[in-house]
Amino acid sequence: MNLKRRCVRLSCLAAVAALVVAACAPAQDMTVAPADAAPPDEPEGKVTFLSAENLSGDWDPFDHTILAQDRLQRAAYETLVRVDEDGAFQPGLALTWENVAPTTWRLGLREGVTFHDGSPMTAEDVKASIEYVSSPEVAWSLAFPRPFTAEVVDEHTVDIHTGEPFAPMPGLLATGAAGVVAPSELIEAGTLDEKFVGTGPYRWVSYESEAKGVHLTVNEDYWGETPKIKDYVFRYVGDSQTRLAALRSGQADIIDRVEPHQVADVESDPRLAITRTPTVESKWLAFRAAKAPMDDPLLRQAIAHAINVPQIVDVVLQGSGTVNTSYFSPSHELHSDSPTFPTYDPERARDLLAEAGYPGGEGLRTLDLMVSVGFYPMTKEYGEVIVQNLADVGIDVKLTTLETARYNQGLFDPEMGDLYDHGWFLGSYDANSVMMSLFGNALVTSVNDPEVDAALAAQMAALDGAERQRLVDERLMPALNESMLEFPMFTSELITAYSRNVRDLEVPPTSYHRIEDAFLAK
Amino acid sequence: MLRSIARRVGQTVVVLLGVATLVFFALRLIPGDPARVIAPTSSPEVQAEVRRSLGLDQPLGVQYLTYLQDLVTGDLGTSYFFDGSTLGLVGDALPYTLYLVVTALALGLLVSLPLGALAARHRRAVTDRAVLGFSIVAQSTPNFLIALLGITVLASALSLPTVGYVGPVSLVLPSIALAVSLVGLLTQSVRNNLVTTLDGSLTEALRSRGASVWQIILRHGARLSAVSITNLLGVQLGFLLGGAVVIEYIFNYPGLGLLTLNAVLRRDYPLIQAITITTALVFVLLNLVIDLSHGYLDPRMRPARGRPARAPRPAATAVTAAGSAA
Amino acid sequence: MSADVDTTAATVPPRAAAGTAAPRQHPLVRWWRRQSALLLTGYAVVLATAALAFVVPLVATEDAGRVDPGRAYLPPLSDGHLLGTDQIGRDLLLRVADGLRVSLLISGSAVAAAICIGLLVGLVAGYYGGAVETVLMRLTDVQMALPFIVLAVMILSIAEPSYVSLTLVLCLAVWPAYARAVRSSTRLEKDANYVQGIKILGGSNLRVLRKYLLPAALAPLAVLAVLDVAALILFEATLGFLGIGSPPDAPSLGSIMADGKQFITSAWWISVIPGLVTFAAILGINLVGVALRERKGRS
Repeated sequence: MNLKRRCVRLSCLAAVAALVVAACAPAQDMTVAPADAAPPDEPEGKVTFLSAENLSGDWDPFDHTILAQDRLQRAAYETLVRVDEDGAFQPGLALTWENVAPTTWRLGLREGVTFHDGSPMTAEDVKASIEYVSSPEVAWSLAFPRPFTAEVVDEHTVDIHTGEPFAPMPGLLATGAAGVVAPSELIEAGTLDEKFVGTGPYRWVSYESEAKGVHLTVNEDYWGETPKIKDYVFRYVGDSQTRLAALRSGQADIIDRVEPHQVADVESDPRLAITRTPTVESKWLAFRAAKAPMDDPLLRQAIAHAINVPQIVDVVLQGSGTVNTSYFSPSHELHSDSPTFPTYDPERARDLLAEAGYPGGEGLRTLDLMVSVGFYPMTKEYGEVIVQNLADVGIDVKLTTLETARYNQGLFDPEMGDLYDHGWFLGSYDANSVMMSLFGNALVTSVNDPEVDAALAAQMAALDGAERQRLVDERLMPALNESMLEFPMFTSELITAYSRNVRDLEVPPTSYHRIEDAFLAK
Repeated sequence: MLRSIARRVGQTVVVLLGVATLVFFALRLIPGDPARVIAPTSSPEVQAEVRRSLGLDQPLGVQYLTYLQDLVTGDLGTSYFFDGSTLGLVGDALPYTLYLVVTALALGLLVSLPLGALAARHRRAVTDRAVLGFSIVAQSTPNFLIALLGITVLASALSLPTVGYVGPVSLVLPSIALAVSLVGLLTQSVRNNLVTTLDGSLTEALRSRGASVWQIILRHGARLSAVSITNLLGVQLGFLLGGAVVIEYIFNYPGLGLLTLNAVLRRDYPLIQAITITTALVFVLLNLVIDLSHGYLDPRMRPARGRPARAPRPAATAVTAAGSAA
Repeated sequence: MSADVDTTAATVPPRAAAGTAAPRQHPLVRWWRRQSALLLTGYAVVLATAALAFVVPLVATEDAGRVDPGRAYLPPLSDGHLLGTDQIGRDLLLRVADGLRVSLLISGSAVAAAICIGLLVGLVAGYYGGAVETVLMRLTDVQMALPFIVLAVMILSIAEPSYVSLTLVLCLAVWPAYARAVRSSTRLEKDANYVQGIKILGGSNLRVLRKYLLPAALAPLAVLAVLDVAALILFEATLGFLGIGSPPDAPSLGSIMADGKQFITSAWWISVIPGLVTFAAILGINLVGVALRERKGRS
């Protein structure tokens, strides 16, 4: 028997078949529906969101620090308080919140809400959730100053005891997973990590693999308005070019973190739409201050002055972002320009470097700068600019790039590098959670500064708004500038591209897009 | 015959054991603590617990023996990053890579067999030189260059998917990118094999009986060069798997290549182990099958009774080298 | 051995077959006429890429890695930047030249090292046979059983990225082929009558190995080596493309391309030019290699 000829015949067949399939495959339906298309009556269609950041693969809503997962779980879990487009607090699972005593906040809960497993949401669940999330071994405790306790008043009323007076409570309850409510039975049983069981408009279907992503479908028993999109798929694709290509070929409907230089491409495609959102997220340069030589604040200040942030924003990021003038982002409440905030000044950097005992960089070892790739726009590029900027004042730096999942883990390792570039996106207009996590809890630097801690505590306890503003401006900012444990270089812009058939999609500065408000036009 | 097969199988087991040992020690010699990678923010107690659950607190020798024991029972551990057993992850990814590799191989043969035959038929003529020139150009083109050009030029024009796997249509661009350099290597090899056959005394005999050159190529040359071709394919499979890593990365294609890259970038030790051992297994088994099939394909290769035979490696050693490099 | 001479002596007249050619022709012309078009094209491409790699840095007026975002995205043929600049204003010509030089040197050294290891292993295995041969051959089996990229990716992600580790990994990729080739030629030669004769006349093993078996083993490696350099350039570019291998601040053809690929619609040259240069370098060497292989096959 002539095996080879048979092989050849088979292989020819296979190849021809592949090509025929390719040729006959229906071109993706990429026609754009008319502009005035109305939302459907019944939920229908499927929307695929491509995230720039990986998911943890572990579905406990409280025990991760991944923004992408936070954004995803917002479709399945709800928070006690919500923020609307104007930054105002709106009822979520809590209808009322009130400071009944200096250290007690009383929440009145929404009635008639059930979890996806059918059990009703009660004060017990809120108590279990808030006590769980604020306990130190859970990741989202990062936003809490200390463990909170809760007390069930009646089935739909709960008191939260904060230990010390705590002004930013509504902001905290609207931020990330801090105000999420999960079923108390699952918290006690330790089975939260298996799948999402929330009260939100979408419920869990499956997660088979990273490549297939998380699949959610509409929750028919939702207490609010039923969403108009039936299925919601959320996948991690760690490369911006790949994400854009997928959007163009119709494989995805919404893509995350479009890079500035891709904007023109998207805009030239009549099938695609784009939104550019100024966020509440700063890009930080964290200093690993627990070890030499980064334990020297003068060296850290020298580095902050040496980096040409305006050039990075204007040229490398093509204007996609805002140069920071304070430790708060411009869209944060209580933001004002801080006069002592470091600006680009190489001369000052050289002086500070000499003052730190390294004239012209002499005696200073090579520093390691770590950046992620594929996640935030242009990180490798501006990492290289930072290397050049620092070389110009005499500081020798080596750049290392990290894959996103690896970067997300290395972030909290105080041994990892000397300078660590990271974003810190807590979806709230109140900057307190950011300050609390990065400085109070010192998640990244693992070093606390006593003056910063005292200033933080003071402004948190200030229940009067004007007094809080004064404490931020006059105590917190100078302490942060002086200690320079992390340097907030600029506030990033979130560019989201999507098919024009996805209507009513809004991406607010908190990044929490509401898929339940969008619909697919036909 | 049986003895030689047993011997070959025995060798295969030794090779696999070698691979497993190599992988084990390579990973243990890495500076850095896997416990820190798994639970970076946790307390020292939690990390100690992680280390204990991984068996990393045991002496190296004990770890090695446990590892071999697990290996024999087919337990390759659980991934640090992904849910589920590593073997399951590899099992999920492997078919996708096989689709890709087989399609690329089929495309490669589809182009290179006729081209090689054409060149052999018209050897030293302009056609032969043109085919050779083309094949060298194809062989020299980096597959990622083709992939990028494919995405940029072809994908939106033809509405071809460029991300992941949505159906056979997802194979088009990646397999073309993978097939191009293969076409170069295969064409040359087919041509050279056929030329050797045509130069032999068999051809002279057949020619004297009035057979045309094309008839000889189709009826006899093909059969006689089947050994070299299958041998080459065994080697090319490694080459294709290598190429698949880059191609899968570019197209975010859910195969073994992407899994490998992710596992390595995330320092997912158990997964790296599982991938390396499984690919080595597939690879070694394929080569075993190819070696054993030689006797079937070409009676001259059958071992004389009682004497173990090793099939000679293909004459085109340069191609072997290129394959092993990828 | 003639193939060996020719690979290294593109401009040196070979020992021409004196007297057979027309007496008035210059030796260079005679040499030229004897080469195939394939080989000449190959030499030309190799010379051009070598010039890019080794001459450009000599005449450069600035450091190849100079970052200057103020002059980013300049297209080719801009003032002072023949091939344009990249996304953060580095000169692309200098960067590509640097990447190519590194690539050529690394691939070349890796092949040279592979030949040395291959000779050592192959000669010992082929000449002494027995247990030594079995162990060595199983070792190469183990090595050949691993799809190499998996091993390379694994090692390079573990090791501190440096040119040395990269060279070693590339060498690891190719040495078994040399060991096998040397072993088989040694096995053939050692049974040859003349070797047996020398041994009977009292020649030591070392002398036999050095004077007879080594040269015999070397000859067939030349073509393999040339083609392997090309394969390793591609492999090095692949690793660079995946973002592993060379130190991150050092340019590699693959990494320049990978970094530039996201700008392919807005600034195609950043990724396409290094891609084409990689292609040209591999093409030139492959042309030479294949042409030499052909000539050997014919003679």
